[in-house]
Amino acid sequence: MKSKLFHTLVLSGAFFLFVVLCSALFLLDRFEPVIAEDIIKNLPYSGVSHDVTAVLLNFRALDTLMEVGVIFLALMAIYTVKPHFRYKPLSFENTITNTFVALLFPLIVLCSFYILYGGSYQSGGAFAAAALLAGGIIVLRLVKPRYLSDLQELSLRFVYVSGLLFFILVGIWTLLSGSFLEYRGDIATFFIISIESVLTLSLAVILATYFINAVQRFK
Amino acid sequence: MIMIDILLLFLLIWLSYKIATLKDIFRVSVNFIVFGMILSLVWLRLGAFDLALAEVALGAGITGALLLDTITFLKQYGKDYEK
Repeated sequence: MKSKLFHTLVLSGAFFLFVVLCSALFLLDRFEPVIAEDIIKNLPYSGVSHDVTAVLLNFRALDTLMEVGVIFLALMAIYTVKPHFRYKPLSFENTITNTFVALLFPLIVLCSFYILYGGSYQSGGAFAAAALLAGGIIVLRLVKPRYLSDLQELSLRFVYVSGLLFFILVGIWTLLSGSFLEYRGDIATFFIISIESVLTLSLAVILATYFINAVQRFK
Repeated sequence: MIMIDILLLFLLIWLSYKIATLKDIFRVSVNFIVFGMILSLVWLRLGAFDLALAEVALGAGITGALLLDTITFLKQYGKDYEK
């Protein structure tokens, strides 16, 4: 009885919020995208020809740095929660899954590199490539756990910090000749591609560790 | 095309209702994964291709894998897990 009343209350509250948001949407003035003109005007100096990548890694690179920091903080939070008891990792080793992962994993790696490099002139970029690569690592972990059991904890930690560290190092490098994370022209292309490459590897390992560390470490 | 948009919207609302009200957590997780997929289609229709890519990889893929893994864990060791 009590939960029924609670459900009704929550539902009516959600409906009320829905109506309020819809009315707010209709009351809104016409949105003028003034910022888009600035982006298109400054796109030739950004070093890449895709607007989203230019915003993420050049115009608002500091925000992306903060995002990477947040992902790293979440990893640290997961590390503090040690699993109390280890349960046997699921392992589906048979001919079908072995052939599947042998065909799929190289394809996933190739595809994520394509998305990474294609990010400079089309949709894609470091975060999408990292997510794809992390999915590949998770599939590999589920099917062939012993392929990843040789990885050392210390070398993994270097990979975890490498993305954030490289980003900050580039920031300090640009600080010597201007302001923090300010680059344009040819050097910007170099910086963006190198930051994205390091970020992809680091974020992919971090995202895969979210999955693996939630129940058991790599070993 | 507008019919597809309306269909996607109603699918999203229906799925979110099911996620909020269903009792069995396995069904909730599967519904959540489908919700992520439909949401990435909505991003595609809005022209935000980067968001669609990230949504389908992170929202549907990795979060779904995490949820299903947690359910397996609970089935083996959780005391309060029902069904």
